[in-house]
Amino acid sequence: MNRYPAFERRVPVIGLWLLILVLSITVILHTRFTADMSAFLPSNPTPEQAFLVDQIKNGAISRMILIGIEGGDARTRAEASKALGTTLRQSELFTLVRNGNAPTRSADEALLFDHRYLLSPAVTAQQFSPTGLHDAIANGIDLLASPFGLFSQKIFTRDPTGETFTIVNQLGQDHAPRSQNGAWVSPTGARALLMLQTRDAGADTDAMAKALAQVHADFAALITSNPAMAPLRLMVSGAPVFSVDSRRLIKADVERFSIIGSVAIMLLLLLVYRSVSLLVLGLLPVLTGIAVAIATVSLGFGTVHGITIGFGTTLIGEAIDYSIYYFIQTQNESEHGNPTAGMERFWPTIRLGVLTSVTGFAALLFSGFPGLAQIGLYSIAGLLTAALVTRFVLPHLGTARLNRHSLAGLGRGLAPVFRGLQLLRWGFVVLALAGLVLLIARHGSIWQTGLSGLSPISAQAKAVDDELRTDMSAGDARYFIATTAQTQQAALVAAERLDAALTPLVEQGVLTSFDSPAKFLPSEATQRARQQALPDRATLTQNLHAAVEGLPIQAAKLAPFIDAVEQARQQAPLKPDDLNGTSFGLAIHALLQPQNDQWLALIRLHTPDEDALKPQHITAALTRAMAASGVPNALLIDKDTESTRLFNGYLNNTIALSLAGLLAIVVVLGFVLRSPARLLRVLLPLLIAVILVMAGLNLTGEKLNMLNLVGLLLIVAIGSNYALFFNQGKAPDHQTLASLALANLTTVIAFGTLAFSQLPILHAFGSTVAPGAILALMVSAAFAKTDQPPAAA
Amino acid sequence: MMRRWLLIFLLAWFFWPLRATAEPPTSWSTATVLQSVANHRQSAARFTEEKFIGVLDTPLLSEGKLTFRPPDYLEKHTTAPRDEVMIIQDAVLTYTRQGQTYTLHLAEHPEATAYANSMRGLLTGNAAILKQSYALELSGDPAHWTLLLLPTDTRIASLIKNISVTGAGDSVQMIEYDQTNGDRSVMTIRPASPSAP
Repeated sequence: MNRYPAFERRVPVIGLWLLILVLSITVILHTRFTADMSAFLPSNPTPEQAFLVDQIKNGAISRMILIGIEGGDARTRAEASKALGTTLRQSELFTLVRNGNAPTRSADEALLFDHRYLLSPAVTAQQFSPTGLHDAIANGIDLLASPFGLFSQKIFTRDPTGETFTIVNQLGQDHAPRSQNGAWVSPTGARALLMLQTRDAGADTDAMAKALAQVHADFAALITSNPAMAPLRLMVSGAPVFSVDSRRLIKADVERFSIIGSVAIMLLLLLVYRSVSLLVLGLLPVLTGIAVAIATVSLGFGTVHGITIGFGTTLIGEAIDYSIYYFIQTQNESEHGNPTAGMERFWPTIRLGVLTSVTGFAALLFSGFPGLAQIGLYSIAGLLTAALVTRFVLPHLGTARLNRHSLAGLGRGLAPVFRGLQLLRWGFVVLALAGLVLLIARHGSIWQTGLSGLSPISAQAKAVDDELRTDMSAGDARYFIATTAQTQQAALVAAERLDAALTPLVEQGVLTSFDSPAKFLPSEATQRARQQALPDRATLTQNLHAAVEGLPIQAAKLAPFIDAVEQARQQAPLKPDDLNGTSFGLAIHALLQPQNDQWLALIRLHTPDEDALKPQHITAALTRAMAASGVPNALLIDKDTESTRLFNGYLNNTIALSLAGLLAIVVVLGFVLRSPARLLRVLLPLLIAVILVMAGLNLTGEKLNMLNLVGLLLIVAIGSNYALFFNQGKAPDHQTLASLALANLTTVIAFGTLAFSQLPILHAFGSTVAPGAILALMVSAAFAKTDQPPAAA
Repeated sequence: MMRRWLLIFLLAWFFWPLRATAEPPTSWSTATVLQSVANHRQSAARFTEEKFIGVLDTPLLSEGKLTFRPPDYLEKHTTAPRDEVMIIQDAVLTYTRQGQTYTLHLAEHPEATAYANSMRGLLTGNAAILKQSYALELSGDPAHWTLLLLPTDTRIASLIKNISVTGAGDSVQMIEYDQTNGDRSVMTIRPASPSAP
């Protein structure tokens, strides 16, 4: 049996191990670590979901910071808002700081007026015919008599057909908050409001943190220098706040729980081994596993998520088991000078254990959530590495020379406990049946709905966000139409065609209004068509003379109109960037965005008050309008049903995945055990453990999400190790019992610490797997074969 | 947005106080005229309006009905040549024309607020509010008086030269609105029902 210890084998094995370690560390040093929650958004969604996810990750909303100023009196709040706005505009971190309507008003007016013949949908050849001009000028005179006259009379001789008014009218009421004392306020007036857009992309969490720090610092400086502003309070929300907070929470929790878990496991092992060098040796497979796992994820995904690292604690708990089994179960043999002699005994069981665990985690690789797939890959790479290092490297590191404390005593102490558990066999069955009945009776309350359950953001922070969003009437519209095109202009053309199809819905009352990029900026083709509809100077002069017949105005007084039209015929079409600095610039950039190599046009639909019309009625009307528009790739997005559907889709996906993982484990076990009866004996305890955990979580009021579900799969993957040891054909000896108890304890410590995490994802794993692992061990022991007495140590 | 800006001007046409009648006060002054107007205001009146606009050959005519409900509801309903309605209530102005309704929050626009407060000052006989935006000049006698409102706020003054309110006793008969560009409008007010004095 002396196959391993030869010196000539030892050098290449250790060399290879060190090389892999160095390579892994090199990769890790070049790895980008992320903590944004979008890793737990689906990666292969439907087009509608892809749109939502992209908006969450990169859309204008990902860069938008909402600020509320509370306390003090209205005037002081307005002053503070204006002062804060001024300092924030001076920093280069924001492309936009809005806190009132005044700053862009004159730029807005100038833009509309100067380009009225390109922007007004009323500009057609008919409008400039003699009869068309007659009607249009009659209408313009009408406007003069209306309250709008005070404005329109200033431009009447240049715009007698009222094109400026037509443009303003079709833009519709804007949705900005109202102003008081020159600054935006909430509907009740109790808060001053500001809206910022960061220069950097929302995905750049460092930049978001910097921008938010700037806001807080500027506000602090402001109230320090103005005693009157002392009572004011700052509220900040928006996607950047969430991403910065998530990262902070994830980082803090991951650090805290990794340290707590690791220290606890190390103390436990030190207590048992009573040897520092044995502890260090035992950690080598684990540390190598972690290094290779991080490097593998980094190479596979490009980035490593903080949650993956946090989950890594559990890898310590599991992978340490291999060295525990190795040290303890090979102990007797190694005392006789052969460090690998015991390998033959424990390795096949470990190999099978690794195989089932890896099979379980492999299911995660197919998850639609990149975050879960990372955890799967991380665990597979880590476990395989740890097992291989235990198997091939540890025996070469002189473990034989270590003076190990025998655990046989502990095993002997535990043996009656495990035997005692067998008396409880039927008790577990009854309990599991009761749990099953409970779960069936309360099946409606088992699962959590909605993706929000995965977010680490507190309910309080969400409430602040809701309030500010409502105040800002940043009114998350429920319905969107999205369409993409190769070029910006093509996207605008598509938007124009959709606009034309949607306009009748506004008249029918299905929509109250809609915001389309084409309303702010017609496509160049449309602008050119309008230019071509404008008559030349001679024709216009002639038509005008005919048109004023019967109107109380002389054609001569409208000479500025003829000049303006002539000028418009030469004008360069407006481009999106020409709108910068106006309130339309903001609108167009939100509704017309570059996306990958394409352009995305968004139309935001405003519907009548809720309950006025059934959603099916609205979506049916919209679907018909979109078909009528002939825009081939227009997507209707109903955010409410889409996010529910998205969640349900991924819950179903995860259920399917977990069942597939379970099936794969069963197949592997069945293949190795080659006996339906033994397979059943291995699986039954695991099934009981899973039922009891689900029932227990349900009783404590915890709603299961898809990560709990994955946790249940892990109970099977990890628990099968225990079940296998109890089903080797004879009852486990005292050494095995001791190593099982110890291995179980480390797993429970690792997952148990995660249960205390504030992060729902880590908490879900921890609260499921920790009790599950204990139950799996206990129930497996209860169902262990008893027909033979335990082998003597 | 511009629409809000346009609406600032709505007020210029509006608020022409709905008036009243009464016995002449013992001591005749701006305050007493306003007081008697306020005391005897009616809930409704008819109006005709002539607008003289420089660029047009002939004045534009319109007519309709004014309605006032204490404490702060004011409606100007133009019935000819076309139907349009302007309502000011609390701090919100709405204007409906050709099926479209426009809304303006007065608080957002100091100019608009100045108008609204001034007109309400006239209606409620609150000279103090009027004086925040206008200098008041009373001339004539209790039987035929003219109250001239001269804007003190430069933003308003750049648009309006003056507002001249002509009355007899406690009733406002005519409001003439002179713009700085020479255009003007003249609103003639008469009781809505024959029973009014």
